Amino acid sequence: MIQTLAIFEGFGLGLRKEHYADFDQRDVPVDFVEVISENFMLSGGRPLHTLDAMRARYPVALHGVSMSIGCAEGLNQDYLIALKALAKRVDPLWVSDHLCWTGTGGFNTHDLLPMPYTHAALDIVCDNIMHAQDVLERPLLFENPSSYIAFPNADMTEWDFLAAMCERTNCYLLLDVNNIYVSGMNHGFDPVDFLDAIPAERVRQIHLAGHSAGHTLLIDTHDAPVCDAVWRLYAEACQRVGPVATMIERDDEIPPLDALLAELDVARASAHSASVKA
Amino acid sequence: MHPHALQQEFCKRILDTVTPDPKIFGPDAEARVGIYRNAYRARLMSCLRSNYEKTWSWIGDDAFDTATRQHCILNPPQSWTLDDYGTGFNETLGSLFKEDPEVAELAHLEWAMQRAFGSVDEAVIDVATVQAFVAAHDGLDHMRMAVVQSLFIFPIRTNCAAIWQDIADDNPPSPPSLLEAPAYLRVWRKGFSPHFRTIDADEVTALNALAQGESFGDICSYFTATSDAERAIVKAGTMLGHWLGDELISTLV
Repeated sequence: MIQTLAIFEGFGLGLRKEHYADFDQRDVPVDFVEVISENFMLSGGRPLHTLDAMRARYPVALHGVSMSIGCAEGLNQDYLIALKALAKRVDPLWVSDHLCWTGTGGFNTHDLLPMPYTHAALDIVCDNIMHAQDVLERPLLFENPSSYIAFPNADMTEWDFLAAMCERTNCYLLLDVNNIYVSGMNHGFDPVDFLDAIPAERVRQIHLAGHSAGHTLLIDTHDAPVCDAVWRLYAEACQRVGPVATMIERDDEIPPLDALLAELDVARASAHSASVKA
Repeated sequence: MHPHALQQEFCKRILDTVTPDPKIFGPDAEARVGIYRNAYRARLMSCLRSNYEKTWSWIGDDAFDTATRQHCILNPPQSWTLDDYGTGFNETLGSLFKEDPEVAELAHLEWAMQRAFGSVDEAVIDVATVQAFVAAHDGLDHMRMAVVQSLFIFPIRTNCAAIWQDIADDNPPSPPSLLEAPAYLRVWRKGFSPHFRTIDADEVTALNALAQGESFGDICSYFTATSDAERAIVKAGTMLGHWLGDELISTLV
């Protein structure tokens, strides 16, 4: 029986190695940190020592990129066992990954590839989530990835898919507001429609990030500050979701820690304003 | 189209340059699939640059990128972790740089250090423990030892180790050269940092013997076959000193 997951209110950062020294030497004003699970799914060595030290001072969320929950061939059992071992070591706030698949037939692209939003795909995803939650003995969070392809044979919207997925598996959502915006611009939907339709009570974490403009599409680079449009969408999300964990996620062009902390202050102020309005 | 068939089709289009079918991937399929295709290639190249930083520095951007392109085409990733991507890259380099054997050996060294970096944590034996064994057993002859799991040994015939060290120290790299005699590199993790040491064939024989469960006395016997007893004991003792100082022995068995 998969248990429920309590709400954790707080503001955090994705921990990147560029900031290890800062976290080691300063009292960084965050309520939690999020780490990329795969970076610590090792047999031993310095990374795990660093994570243990971090965990002694901050709550930690585990965020994965390789579960491949949408893979039609099922999940990699070795991966799940390694992730379970890490979760046992860390005792995280929660374990999350993405609504995507990463490869098939023994080939792994190491990318977050888009799901076809079909009934058949929903069955596959739900079966995989139930299996992963059983193995890990905890409810999981799944993040909406940015996408550049909308398959013509879709039976439903992304938000309907997410809602059905949550209802059938009791999983939770990690809402990446930047990804909603990027996908909305790339596929021509209103991001607010997305926010209106998802099961807000299942959201346990929000990601905020930046993106880049490609030739004709927005590219989810996570290498820039959060833009104004995403901040506005975040305020809309806060009004619907209420107080949950929010995090700035920067994966490339990592700035000094204080720049990210300044962005986190903007998130705090925006969430506070939204709570007053609500 | 069933999701499984669609996923297989998507993977094919990432790996090749065939125009994606708009009936499957929607309008503007070439540009949209192209984003995933480009991201895939960029990610693998970035991974190899990160795992083989000094080899990249040694051969330069153009040669390294050519090698990574060939490696990525011939070796699509299979593991769930990108940490594994890079296995066999030294062999790819070996096939491309037949006249420059130091390139593949430098890459082999970097890869072994990467593997040692993330290997399992183990307690190690110190001198005091060995002294206690000697006191309890009236000597070292019957002492059997297990080495740490981070240990990698491979043969070299070039000065790849010197080149690695020069690049690490930001010194002008030594010109490539062949060693006067073939040797071996021993790579392992000491504390949290990977280390390496150039060793000779006798030490490889001794370490292999340890792995086979043979005793320190057996190792001394190997050396007495090729030199006098006093030299053999000194040689084995010196090796043992290095192993203990290098934190290479995990247990006495």
